[in-house]
Amino acid sequence: MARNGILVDYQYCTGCYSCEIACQSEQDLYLGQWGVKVLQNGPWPLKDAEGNETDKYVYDFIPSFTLQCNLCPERTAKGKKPSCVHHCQADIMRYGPVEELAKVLEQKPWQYLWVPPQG
Amino acid sequence: MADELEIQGAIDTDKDRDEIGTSKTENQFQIGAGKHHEVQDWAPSRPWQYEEDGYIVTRTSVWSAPGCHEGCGVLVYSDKDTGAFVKLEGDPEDPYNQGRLCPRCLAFKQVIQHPNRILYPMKRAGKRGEDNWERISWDEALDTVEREFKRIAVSYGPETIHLLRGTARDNQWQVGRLGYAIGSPNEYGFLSGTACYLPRISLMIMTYGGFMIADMSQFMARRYDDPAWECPECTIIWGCNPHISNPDFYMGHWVTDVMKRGCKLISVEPRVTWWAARADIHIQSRPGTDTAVAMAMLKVIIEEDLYDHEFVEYWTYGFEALAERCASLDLDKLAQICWVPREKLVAAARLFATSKPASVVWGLAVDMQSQGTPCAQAIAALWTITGNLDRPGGMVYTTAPMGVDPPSAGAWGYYDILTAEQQKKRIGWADYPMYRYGLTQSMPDMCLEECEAGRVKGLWLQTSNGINCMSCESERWYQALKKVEFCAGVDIFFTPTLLAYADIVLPVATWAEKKGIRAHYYFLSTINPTCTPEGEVLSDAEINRRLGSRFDNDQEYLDTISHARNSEPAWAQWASDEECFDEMINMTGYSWAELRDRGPAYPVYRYYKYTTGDLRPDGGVGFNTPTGRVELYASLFENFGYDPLPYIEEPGVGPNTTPELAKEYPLIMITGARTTSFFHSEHRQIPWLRQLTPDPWVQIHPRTAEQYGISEGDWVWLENKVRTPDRSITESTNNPHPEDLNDGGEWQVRRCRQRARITYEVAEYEVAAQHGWWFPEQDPSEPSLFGRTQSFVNQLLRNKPGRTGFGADLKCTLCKVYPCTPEEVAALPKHHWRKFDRRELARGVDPVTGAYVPQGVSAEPVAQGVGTAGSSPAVEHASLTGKEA
Repeated sequence: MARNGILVDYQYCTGCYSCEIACQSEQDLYLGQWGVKVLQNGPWPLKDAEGNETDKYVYDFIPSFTLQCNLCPERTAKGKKPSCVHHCQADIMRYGPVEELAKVLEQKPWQYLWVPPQG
Repeated sequence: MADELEIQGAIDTDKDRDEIGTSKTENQFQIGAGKHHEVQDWAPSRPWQYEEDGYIVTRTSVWSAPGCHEGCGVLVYSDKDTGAFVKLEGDPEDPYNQGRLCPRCLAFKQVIQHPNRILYPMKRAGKRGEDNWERISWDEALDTVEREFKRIAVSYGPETIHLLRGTARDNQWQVGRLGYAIGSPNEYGFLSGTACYLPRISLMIMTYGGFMIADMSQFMARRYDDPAWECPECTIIWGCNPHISNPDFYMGHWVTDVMKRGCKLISVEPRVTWWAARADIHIQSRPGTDTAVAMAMLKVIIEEDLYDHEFVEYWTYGFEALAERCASLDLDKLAQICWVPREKLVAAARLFATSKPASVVWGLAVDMQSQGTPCAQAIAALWTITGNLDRPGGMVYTTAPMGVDPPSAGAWGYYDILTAEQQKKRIGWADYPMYRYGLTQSMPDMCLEECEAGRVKGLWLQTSNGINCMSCESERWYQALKKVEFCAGVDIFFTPTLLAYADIVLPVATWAEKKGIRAHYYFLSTINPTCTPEGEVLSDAEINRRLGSRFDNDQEYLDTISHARNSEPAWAQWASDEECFDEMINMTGYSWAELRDRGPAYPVYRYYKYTTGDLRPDGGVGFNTPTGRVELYASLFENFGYDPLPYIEEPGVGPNTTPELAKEYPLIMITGARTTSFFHSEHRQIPWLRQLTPDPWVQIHPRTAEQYGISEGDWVWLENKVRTPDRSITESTNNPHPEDLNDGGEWQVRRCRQRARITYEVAEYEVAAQHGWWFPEQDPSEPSLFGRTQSFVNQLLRNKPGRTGFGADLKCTLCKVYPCTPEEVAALPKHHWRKFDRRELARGVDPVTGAYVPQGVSAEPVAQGVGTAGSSPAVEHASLTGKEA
């Protein structure tokens, strides 16, 4: 059976945390336990050659999946997307066979592909 | 040239100041209201209700309660046997959100089934401020409210009953209409200068004859695939963090959708938000100086001849005057005012003017400065002279969907039910004539002074937590409202405001438990009951209909207060919510049930409406304004005595306005920065949401934090001093602005505590603090009132509207910041919000500290307000009140 994963285009992840709560409510998880957790990097200013702060900033949000993620087998069995993918407000997640997602990954930078070890 | 078009004026201004703007026609900003509209050829493929995996699935639209401005489409799964709510998900077929949902909806299960939800009518069993309540029947509750409001209306006049609401949505007209049944025109929120969209809306109605919104294809059911729509080449995100800022019927992520399609971004924003970091140009302006930014851009666009000559010549009025005003300003000086390099302002102006189409996604920061009106005027001129008005992908007129006007516009029946005489008893009506445009609500700053003077006798709080959300100098509101003789409140949870004042508390249905109409801008849909309501909750509409009918049907009462109605009664003609909604949407050709079956109905949207006569009630070409053109020079402002052109003024307090004060309080404080966890002061008791933002935070720049000895996560004091003026309403109207240090009153030091979040998101000279904080886990009774003063930042803000009565300096004041002492931190109340999660309690969470303890061993007795895990909601609810049911 093809291995499935989630492709994340985090160039456009706004840090809305919908994926976190979509997962917690789908799996009915306890507080502080996550199938996916949004990490924040920045904002901090890039520096120029002289070491001065510029007006260009690093500011990324990165949905980070955990071992709790099972890719929502009950949903996908019915043809639905995993809950985080379904509800992602910036529409930056794509679920599917790794082989297909890898091709999409190649077409655009600033993305990563998550494949759960158990699935 | 322009005269050849024979554009006629649409509004008569040749009459007394007090007679201008008093008719529905002059305030008809919902384009196409009352007319039948053709429907777009689109419908959802699924029925409104079906079965899946043994659940009943119901499609609905989400509107308050709890508070929400969006109206996303969701599918609710309920238990087939009991009808109980089980779960929900975003409706992928709904064009508005396309399946997407924010965390507040995704955590909704913890709202509807919350152990502390208000489920039954209650009456106070002790003094105000004590947490003692007694469950009563609906009959007794409504009898009491009716009796008290009638007594007050007969004794003091119906206008002494004030009806307050929160941000409202489908219940907005219902609150106002209850007032019309009683005979009171005084309906409003607590916000100084009504600094929430109304400054922009009233400006646009008066000078554009309607209001506009950035076109991200949301008028089209097929959205980005509709060939009539064009993707904007450039969008300015102005004073807005659209994906988390509860925007008004504007899903912030539509902006990421167009970014992916190539739209460039300009960010005008004091903070380095995610959008600012992604923008092509970021104008990091000093808070409260947006008008200077807009005027600088206008100056560049006009003087570099980058404007749309044809549009300006044919369709606008007063361009030469605007150009002269711009010519009188010096670009370097403008750059100095807003603390932005001149070349950035020039680059932004060029990028915006040379992009077609281009739009502006503007936010509350425009309103939350005393300059709200002129600022909105300048920004609107930007998209107008560049030819982006009512074109695909530009700034397009909102409409009354399918002709349905009222549900969120507040005023359904205002002009029809209240007599002209009673309409003029609306507070602010005479003093601030711009309040005649937009929502027909009262002027909050004047209402505060009415309350303080003891002239407000009755209070109706419908889903409003005023003293811990919108009120500024909140201690004034807190003290003033104690003077009312009777107060009734409607809500889903107890709040500091209900604890402080309410004599009767009524439980209200959430969106999932009621019928309703979702009508705003783009489409019309029904709100459908999706599950069995909890307890004895009723919908806002039903509560207000049952109560309002008691006034409608009492001829003796109506005669006594001389309430001569213009037309039909307010409520008594309807026997059910559904009958009321049937009438509301009558012109669509659908009944409520037919619309429910059909699903969201998108009317056919037409661009360039000013060329077809669709923008004016009289059907004429042009705009619903005095000259029939877009008024860059606002002729109505002349009538009302305001500057007809945008002008620049400093915020009331600030480094330039009050330099002495700025030495003591050197930081500019922005407030109201939001998170996706909360809608204003709501959701603090929802565990899945509270975990995202457990404590209130204030953003501080790393170097500023170092200067003041502050580390990440420290509890810090935010402090400033506010002078509460000792002067009458009239005097304050005559000298509204700018604030100086000699305008009377005693200085009072105000402060609150939040936790430091150290980040480059703010500049060194500013801090950004969260608003609306209270702590449902803390002691409900006085003096705590759920810890209402601990972190509530509005204590530091002033009630001081701009010249037009609109706008207030809420995002641009001064403060200083310093760490709390270890003793102060140790003394903070300890009860933990984890206790609101039954499963967490079952695991053995200590309700005081939030720490895990071995099963069966509790560190302290279960605190008041904490339900015992596993008990029924009714019993848990009774324990909140400190009494057995």
